Amino acid sequence: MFGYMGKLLRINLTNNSIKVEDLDLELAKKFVGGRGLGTKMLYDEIDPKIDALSPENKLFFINGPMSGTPTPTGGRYMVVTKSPLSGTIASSNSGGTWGARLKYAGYDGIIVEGKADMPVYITVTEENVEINDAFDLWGKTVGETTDILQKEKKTNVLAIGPAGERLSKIAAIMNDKDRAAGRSGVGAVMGSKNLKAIVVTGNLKVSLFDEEATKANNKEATQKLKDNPVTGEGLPAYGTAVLVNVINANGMFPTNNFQEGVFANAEDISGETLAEKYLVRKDPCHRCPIGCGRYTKTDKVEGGGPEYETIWAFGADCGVKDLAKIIEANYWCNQYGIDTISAGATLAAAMELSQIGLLDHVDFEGHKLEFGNDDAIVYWTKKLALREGFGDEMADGSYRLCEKYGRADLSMSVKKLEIPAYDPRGVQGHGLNYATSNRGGCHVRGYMISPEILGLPAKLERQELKDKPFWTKTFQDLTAFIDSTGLCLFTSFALGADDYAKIFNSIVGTSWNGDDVLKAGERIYNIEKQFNIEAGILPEEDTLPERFLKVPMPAGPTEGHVHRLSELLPEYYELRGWDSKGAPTKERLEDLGL
Amino acid sequence: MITVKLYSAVRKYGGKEVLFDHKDGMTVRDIVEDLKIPLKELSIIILDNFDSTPDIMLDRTVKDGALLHLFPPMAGG
Repeated sequence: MFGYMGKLLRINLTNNSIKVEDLDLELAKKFVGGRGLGTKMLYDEIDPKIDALSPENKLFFINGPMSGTPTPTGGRYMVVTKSPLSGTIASSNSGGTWGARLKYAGYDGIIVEGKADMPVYITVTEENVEINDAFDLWGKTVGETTDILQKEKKTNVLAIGPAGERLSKIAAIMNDKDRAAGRSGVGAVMGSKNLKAIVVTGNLKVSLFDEEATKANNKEATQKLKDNPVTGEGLPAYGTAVLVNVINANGMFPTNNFQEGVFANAEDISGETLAEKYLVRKDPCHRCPIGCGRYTKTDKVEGGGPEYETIWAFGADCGVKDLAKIIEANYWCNQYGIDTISAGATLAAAMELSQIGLLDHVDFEGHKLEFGNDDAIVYWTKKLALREGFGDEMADGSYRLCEKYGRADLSMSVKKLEIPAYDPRGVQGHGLNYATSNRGGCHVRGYMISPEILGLPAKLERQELKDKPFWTKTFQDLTAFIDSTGLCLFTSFALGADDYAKIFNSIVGTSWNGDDVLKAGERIYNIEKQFNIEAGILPEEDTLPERFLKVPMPAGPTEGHVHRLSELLPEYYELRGWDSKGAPTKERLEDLGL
Repeated sequence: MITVKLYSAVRKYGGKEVLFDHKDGMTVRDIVEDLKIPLKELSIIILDNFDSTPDIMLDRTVKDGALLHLFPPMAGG
């Protein structure tokens, strides 16, 4: 078996059973791995209607065929489960080394079922798998847990923090301390199973179908990544936060919970300022020649991050210009295991509720949640993660918070997942992607910012509607494939579908071309959609918050624009072969082999 | 007066901001050449709220009071 290790580990925490299963190779190839294979297996094994925090939900930690191979960026894995935040499919991607290490221990994935009576952690080595008592670890931060469990160099630790233990619906699963499977509340699913950590040790190699061809492909891909000015220069020098200024200059840098699109202090929180004042070093993931990850230090904290989205969420979205405080809030998100995007956006939503007088009764403990209060973002991030005081009301994300106060419209989310750092009124294709993303408000399901703002691979006029459904669908399908391989999405700034097909073939032994890559991605996108429909997600949930559809951007380069979703959605559904309510037709599913 | 803002890698050609006196018929290309920025190092240009690539933007006329943003290739997410 090439690319794949050929084994899956199935652990049931209710009855403490541990089984090693053979990987269905044909199924694996058809759904590639990671996001695709995990979704297909979850879809087959659970009723999508179940409560996401019940023992019936399953948690897939699953690799792609390129994880653990020498392919550049080949170290990522996916967490696939039903989301407690959105009720949709959740597939949350993470870097670091943990995913690759799982393959070095001999497994393509781990499936966790049931619920332990008491807190446990799992250890996986090449020879042995154990379920251990985690009583002494429960309540500890991700950093403390990792330090206790990381006993040797060839070991990597994945863990939840207190937020996951307390079932925060925006809790993350962390690995290698600072890497996050951040979105959709996957950390709460792990917490609901009383599973604190998975410790993996291994040193095996992944077999390759054609070693020489793989070597040549990797050399070519690495060269392309180095020669490309984005992956070779911009991202290594400034990290993802290099985007702060360009998004702000286009008037679509969401400010004060998306009330405005220009943040006057953008320069203060930019990637350039981060590099100048707080950057200690680059912090690359496993086998990554790009190295966009940051390791930063302030006078209070040091650690991984922050990313662009994090800087925006705690920065402009909360009206905060103090980058040191943003780094601090990011640090506590990593320690407590919480999604930085959803956490920051939830604080921003609370600030707007406060602005209009709906939180006058709240005891803010001397740290009022109001736009621009830099002290409040650190204080309330900790409280949110720990469910303390008013933090408990914010711990399940902005939608549930705003709904409680009768203003669900002030949650800037799609399917209850908080929208990231690009106001859709400034980018029509990207807004369509938000509305149709199978996990809700997400930028990395079809990153239309690439053509609409950054000119990659070609510049599209951002307010133009023509061809945007086609581009959005293509980006979504290609992304679904990349997410399933174990490679980083950022490779797509330099590589195309044909490059991925070539790499996939040399590792797995297929003879795919670029069209096969896109078709596999489309298959994955459709199985996700089918999961959502059966989970009860309604057609009208393929939408955007009313603010974007009805309230024109008040000022700046995007002034006067709204998002024109209703003009884009019918063509998008038609291109996908879905009916007018966004459900895949029988013919389309058959054509995709579903 | 024209305000030119530079970002990330192209800051080495003039820092964060450069002010130019306006001249009749002045284009984006004139400013880029004055700053000695190699064209291949530019990716996105925003002139008075309209953004596009250098091939579209370089020959645009710059009005007095204009705000011009010059970006090298970049991405993130």
